[in-house]
Amino acid sequence: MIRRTIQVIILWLFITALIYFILNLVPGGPFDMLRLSNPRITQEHINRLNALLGLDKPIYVRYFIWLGKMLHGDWSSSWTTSVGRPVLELIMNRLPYTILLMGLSTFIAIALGVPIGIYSAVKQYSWSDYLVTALSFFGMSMPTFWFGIMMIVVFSVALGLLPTGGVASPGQPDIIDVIRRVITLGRSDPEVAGREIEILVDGIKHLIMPATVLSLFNLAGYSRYMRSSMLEVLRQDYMRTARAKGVVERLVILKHGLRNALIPVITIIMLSIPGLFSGAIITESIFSWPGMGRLLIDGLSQVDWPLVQGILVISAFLVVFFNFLADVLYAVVDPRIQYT
Amino acid sequence: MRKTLTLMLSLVVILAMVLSACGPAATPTPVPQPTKAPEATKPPAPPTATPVPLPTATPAPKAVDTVVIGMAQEPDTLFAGIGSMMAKTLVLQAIFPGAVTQDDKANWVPILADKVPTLDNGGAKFVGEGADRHLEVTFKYAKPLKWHDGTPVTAKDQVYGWKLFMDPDFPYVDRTFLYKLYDVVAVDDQTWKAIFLSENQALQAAAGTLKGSVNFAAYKADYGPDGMGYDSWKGKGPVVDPLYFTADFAMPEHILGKMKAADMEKSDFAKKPIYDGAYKVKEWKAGQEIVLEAVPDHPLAPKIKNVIFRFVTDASAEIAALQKGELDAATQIGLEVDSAPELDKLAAAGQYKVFYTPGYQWEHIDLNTTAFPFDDVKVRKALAYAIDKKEITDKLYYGKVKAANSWLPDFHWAYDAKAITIYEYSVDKAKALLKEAGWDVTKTPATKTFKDASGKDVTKTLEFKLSTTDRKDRQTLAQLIAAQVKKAGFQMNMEFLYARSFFGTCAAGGPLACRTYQAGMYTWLSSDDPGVMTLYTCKSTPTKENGYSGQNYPGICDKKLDELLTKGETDAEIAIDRTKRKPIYVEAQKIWTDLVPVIPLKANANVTVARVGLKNFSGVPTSSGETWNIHTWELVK
Repeated sequence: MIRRTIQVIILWLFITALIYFILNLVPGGPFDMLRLSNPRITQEHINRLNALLGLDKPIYVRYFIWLGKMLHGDWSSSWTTSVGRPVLELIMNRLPYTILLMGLSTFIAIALGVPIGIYSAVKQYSWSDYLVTALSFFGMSMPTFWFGIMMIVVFSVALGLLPTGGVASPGQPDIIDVIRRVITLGRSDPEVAGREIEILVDGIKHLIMPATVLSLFNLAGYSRYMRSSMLEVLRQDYMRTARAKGVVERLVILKHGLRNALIPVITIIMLSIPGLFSGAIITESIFSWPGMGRLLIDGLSQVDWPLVQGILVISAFLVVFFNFLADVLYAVVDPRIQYT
Repeated sequence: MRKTLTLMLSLVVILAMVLSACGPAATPTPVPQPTKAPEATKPPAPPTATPVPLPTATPAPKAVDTVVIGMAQEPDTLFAGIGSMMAKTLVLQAIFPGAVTQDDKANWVPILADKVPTLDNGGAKFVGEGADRHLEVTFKYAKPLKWHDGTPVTAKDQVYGWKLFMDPDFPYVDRTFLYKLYDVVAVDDQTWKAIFLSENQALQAAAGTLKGSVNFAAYKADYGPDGMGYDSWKGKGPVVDPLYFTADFAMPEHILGKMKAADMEKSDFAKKPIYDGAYKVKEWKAGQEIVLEAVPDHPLAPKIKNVIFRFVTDASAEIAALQKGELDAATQIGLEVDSAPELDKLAAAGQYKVFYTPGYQWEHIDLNTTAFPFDDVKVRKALAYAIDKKEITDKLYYGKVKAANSWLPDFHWAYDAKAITIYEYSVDKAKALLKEAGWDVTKTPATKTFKDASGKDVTKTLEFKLSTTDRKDRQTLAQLIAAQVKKAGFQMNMEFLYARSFFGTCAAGGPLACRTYQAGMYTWLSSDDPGVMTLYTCKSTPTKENGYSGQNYPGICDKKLDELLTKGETDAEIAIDRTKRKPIYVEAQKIWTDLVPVIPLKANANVTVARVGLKNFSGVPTSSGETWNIHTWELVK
């Protein structure tokens, strides 16, 4: 376990170096395009602006400065996306919205995907199994950018039922404001007072389409994993033994089968938790959802390397950490697995 | 039976996959007949295609005194002088409009000042004699103003702002204009004067010895002969700027004076600034919207109580939001001409008006005039004749953009269509010119025999490479041009590069900066100031000797053109007088179009949308943006 922990730390440090060097070796800097808007801007002026950001130092020096500051809690400031704002502040502003959307869609995907997978496995080769399989493939194959736009065209424009995007109606508090007010016991967000239900309803309306797009995509995957795992378990001898002992079929499936079939699925769920942080770039762009995915794409398009580094480093840490946690959990859940 | 069912289900799955992959694109379908590009200030002509009736949109419930504006980008900051995004400019026009701005016809008009100070109205004048002669420009607020926290705005805030922007620790993006000033002084509470450098002062600044209210020595290099401030001054006469009437630097000293310059961009002021405009920031929800509210009793008397800039990042989603009625207007940021079919349907439905306004951005092809095959002016002219701009604007841009013939748009005060050479599409003229230049145009590509260094005959084909960025629309444009010029005997190969590689410095291998390209296609941004000394004079050519600085990528070097472009910017009496300046630039454009160092292709259009009931909104060609007069908008339903 200790060895594994050290491995995780070293791996994460290696990844941070890789991220830093790859990004900073991309040609050009944050101010190079200024000359397109004003041909009078000289390279000297751009050099001066770069020097204000410390870009005049060698890349390896910049890496160690950045790493040192990061380990002390200073994640640098945005160069271009939100000039001068601390990267951590930008991330923390967007994180609640990402967790809300990704958390909800993941929850829906698991809540529906697991039972669908179980049913599909139990009724293998039935028409319902084929239907579910077909829909799963459809869900996994369908491009989210197309599906999202189609949902907007149908449910927003044609039927007028749902808003086209955003978190809340223009100028109104949003669902995160309500949650924050609840958590702080009414001390924050005074404009929410008395309107909590109205804001929640508005927020749910704004959530429906992006959450549906994302959960459909993930649901397909979870249902297939569950089906596969369940089929494996259903063939086991202890399942036949349970039936032979007269256990009710429902209990055979849920108590004896599901518990064992969930083990690999739990692992997959753990590995998808980093996705709760990183967001969904395309879905957030289409639905104007102010999440981490959009923040990342804004940072990339505007050569805002401190911001991109911050997001990628956190994502990398979460992937490495939850991989590690999945391994640990696997051993906990399955007594047959032991680490030496 | 089971096998049949399996087969059928498999077919359904495959069909579903094919349909999902080949689903209709959200972006425009071809218009049967392109419509003519409308004039800048007129609403577009109705489309000739039969309008498809839109489903009845359910308008989002909102008060009539709130206008919701869609914008595809979020400002990087609201701190004036930092950052350079158009999104910021659009918001700042509402909360910090400044003394003067450009209207929808590109005329300069006063907003907070009582007038635009010019030589004609006595607001600007030359003072002093000889090498001490300098320009002074006096501004006065039309009415007393207050910062959004109620503190009065005074001329001392102008002085403070000028000093702040010249502070080396303040990350001011572009000091080109600032470098031309010596000082800003408060005449009285409502009046300030901008004092430009005299010849003596400019020389002292270049030597690092100039003393004044700011640290001139910190910018010594920029005051040198090759510096940013001194491209437009050649060591003689007073220093001026053609936009001298924009010397407005007010910043709230009572707030910012308590902070260090280096810390300002991180401060809360950048998110929720205190300015003096008709609107103030009520809230900025990161990634979502900026909410403004009207300032009570403001001299500009804004009609609409609340303005919401809502960030809608996807163009299709923005159009959907307009169709649903969730937005009252959409800014030029995000909407492109390729959405014209959808937008024209929106306009046809009667609830919105769409503006396609030619702006200052112009797409063009630079020709390397010192490299084969464009070292021959006849070949350059032949290429100009071989490009069908009408086909480009009609086929690729639905007729919504205008062909460009100069570095200036046709609405520019210094543009004169009668004076310049316009290359109307003609394959015959192109071939005739090539033939004159010794090319055998009976072959495709055309061929010509040259003598090499040893005197031997070498046959070359008329083949060249067009380099540009990998943007999808540029790739399509390049392919169309390749097909067009082939008819005249040109073989055009294409190279698509990552933008930062294409525009990179020579040290990074940038083909423009190193001048290793043959033809390069990209966009330049012109402005109200027609000066292009840094682009088309001999000295501006990037060479090994000057460290590949300079932006005369075509490498054009004509004595007369040099003289005109230099005079138009460095002669103080001419540079700030349009009546004296216009003939110089008209003649310069004539020479430029005769020499063809560049083939202008099209003037990009700013695409904006507004509800029919939104009064006083119109598309604008300038960088002031469509919110230049937001305080006059009225929303009528």
